Amino acid sequence: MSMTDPIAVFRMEAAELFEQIESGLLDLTHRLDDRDQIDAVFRGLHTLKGSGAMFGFDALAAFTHHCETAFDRVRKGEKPATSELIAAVLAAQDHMRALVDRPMDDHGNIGDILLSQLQRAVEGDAPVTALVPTIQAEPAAVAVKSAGNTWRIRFSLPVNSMVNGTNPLGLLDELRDLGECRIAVNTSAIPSLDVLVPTDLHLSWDVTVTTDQPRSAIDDVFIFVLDDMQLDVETLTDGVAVIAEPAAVQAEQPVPVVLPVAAIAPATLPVPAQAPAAPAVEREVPGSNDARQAKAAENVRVPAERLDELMDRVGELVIAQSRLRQLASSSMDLQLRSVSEEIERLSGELRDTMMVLRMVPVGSLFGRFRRLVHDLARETGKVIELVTEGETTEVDKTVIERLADPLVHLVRNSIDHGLETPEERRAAGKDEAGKIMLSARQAGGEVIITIKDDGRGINRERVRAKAEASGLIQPGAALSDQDLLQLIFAPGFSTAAQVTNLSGRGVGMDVVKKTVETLRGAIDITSHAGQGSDVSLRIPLTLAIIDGLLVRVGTGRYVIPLSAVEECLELSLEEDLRSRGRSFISLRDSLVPFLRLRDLFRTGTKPDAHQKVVVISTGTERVGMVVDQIIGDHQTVIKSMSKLHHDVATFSGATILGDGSVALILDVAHLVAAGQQQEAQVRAAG
Amino acid sequence: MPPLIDEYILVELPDKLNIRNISNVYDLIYSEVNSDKSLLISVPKSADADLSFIQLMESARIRAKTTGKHIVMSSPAEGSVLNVLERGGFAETFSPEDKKFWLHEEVIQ
Repeated sequence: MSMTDPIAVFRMEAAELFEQIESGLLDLTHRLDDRDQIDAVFRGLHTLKGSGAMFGFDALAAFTHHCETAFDRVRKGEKPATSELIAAVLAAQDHMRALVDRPMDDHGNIGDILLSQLQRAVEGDAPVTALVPTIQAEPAAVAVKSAGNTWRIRFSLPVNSMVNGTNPLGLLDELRDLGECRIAVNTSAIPSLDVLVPTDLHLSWDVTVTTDQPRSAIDDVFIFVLDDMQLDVETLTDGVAVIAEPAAVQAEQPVPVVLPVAAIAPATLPVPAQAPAAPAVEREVPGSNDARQAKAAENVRVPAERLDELMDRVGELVIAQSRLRQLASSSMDLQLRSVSEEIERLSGELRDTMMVLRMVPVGSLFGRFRRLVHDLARETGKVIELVTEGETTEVDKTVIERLADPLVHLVRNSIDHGLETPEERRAAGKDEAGKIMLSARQAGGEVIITIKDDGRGINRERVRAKAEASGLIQPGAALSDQDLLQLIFAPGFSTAAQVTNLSGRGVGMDVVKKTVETLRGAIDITSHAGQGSDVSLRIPLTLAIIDGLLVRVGTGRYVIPLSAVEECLELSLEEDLRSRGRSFISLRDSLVPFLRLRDLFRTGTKPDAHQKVVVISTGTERVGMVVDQIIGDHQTVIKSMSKLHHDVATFSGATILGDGSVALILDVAHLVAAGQQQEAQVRAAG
Repeated sequence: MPPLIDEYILVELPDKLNIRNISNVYDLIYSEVNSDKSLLISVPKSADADLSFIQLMESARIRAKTTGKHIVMSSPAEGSVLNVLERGGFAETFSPEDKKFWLHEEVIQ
């Protein structure tokens, strides 16, 4: 995607607008009369409609227009905001997303169905008094004349308004909707072709409209462009201006034309800069504009793929630097060594900076769960309170993207299996509202994301019975509590007595575990009967470059992610021979299974006299890996395995070493599982 | 007196005459308006026009006037071009010259 691609730009803007609309709607569910949220949702819908039309998403613009019209009635206080209405707009928003993502698809009559739902929700029987009346005090003269008044409206828009998505024709259409209208365009500011910027707007309008609507209805037409435009509105009586009230004026945007009426009533048209008694909203407008512009200037929108490209370049640089270091270390040239050290320092700093650029707050991931919880609460009839913590914790953007689905599974599972119904909770002496807590925190090189509920907890007897029935464990097998709980992540496992739309099909929790493991992460789980469960995902902060431990097995070199390494021990030849057939080492009074990588990789070489055991762990599980030599730490730029090798489970990727050779990166989760399997077989054999 | 028809350059415009494509349309017209001939502008019946196109044509007319050339439309405004002229308040303020240009209507003085 290129940033000059207007469709891509629109899609990004639309995504932000959807977030704004959804967030506003979800906030509104807690405070149905919150005017700020109602206005925010309306603004979002209005902007989406305008931008959609501007970028050629006509179906979106048409559909959103109907939603906006329906929601406008709420905004005007004609109808109350209700939870049914919010649900209907949320559903409509999903359709809008589809219209943005797949504008050319045939969406059937979904739009019509959603609009009729929305219409029914708007026309609901809830008392209208739930809303604060919108119409604030109008100027006295206007209030008196509110029935059948004639208004003269002169306006001009900023030169960049068309290219920014404002369609002046839409504004004129809305003015026509107010009543009998005469529209005159002023073209005198159009420059000659040789100096014209074709995307700039040089037109202004002089409109006379006779309407029984109040002045505020005219202001509403311009509500989304008011900040930057020039607007003069006056009532006309026998062709004479009696009130002249500039609405919001940008001082640096002079009117490009001088209109005849300005000459008729110059004394009644206050110059904006000289208007000391202007309402607060007018005084705040330039300031708020400045703030917006300043904010825009502080941030630059960069496509994610460019960040990925940059990360690749940094990776190549790290590899090249590694080669340089190797050359320098074997050279006696002091200057070469000095330059190598300097480049090493700079590339390290560049790498760190790059890492920060890729970091995204977890809040962007948590935000989407508000909608999920809202929908599930309606679906299940449960009362659910979602609490989030640590939204500012930052994680690599790839991690965020890949964690989204696993977290959805976990939250769904907590709601469906964990939380009780309000009746059950009351009976258990709990609050009616069940709590789901999503939290994130950084711990060393990992981020820990926790999904916690205060529901009934995991029924261990049922887990065991199900596991035995499905052959996952032998009847009566001795399992640690953690091992028992981890069974819920086994493929095909489900304790749900009834399969629901939410969960219970046993497809999901195993996918959760696999996804987390592919991120080089791990899952810890705790649960207490009657108090709830706590699932923690431990994920490395970044996936692109890791600190690795470079080891040699036979003649090959391999990288073990350093974050998984607990300790390194020496395995003497004698101990190696003694442990043949057993493959366990005694580590501080506990037996740890180990794998001989030389055997696993079939190197066909003899073991070194001083082999090493690298003890690695994922959570509570540990396994030792016997290697011939520990070479040292290594900045590992992770390269994906080719398609041909992507199903080789023992390796999670590859890296290029300083001498240009390739080292494979060991898949810790897979090796630990293999080690544990070996341990289980030995235990089973007695 | 206007030049004869064979002194015109025919400028055939694309379908997209809106803000998304107006820079290309501008380039097309600008490259021809600087030649020594007048322009005959052909707008497709199915054209998708917005205010930016009307503004561009008005700007081209100003340019042509200062260089002593003519710009004429090959056919009266119709479809979206006419729609924009009406919705945008142009039609209500047309001078006789504008009417002749956009609608091919001669006003009897």
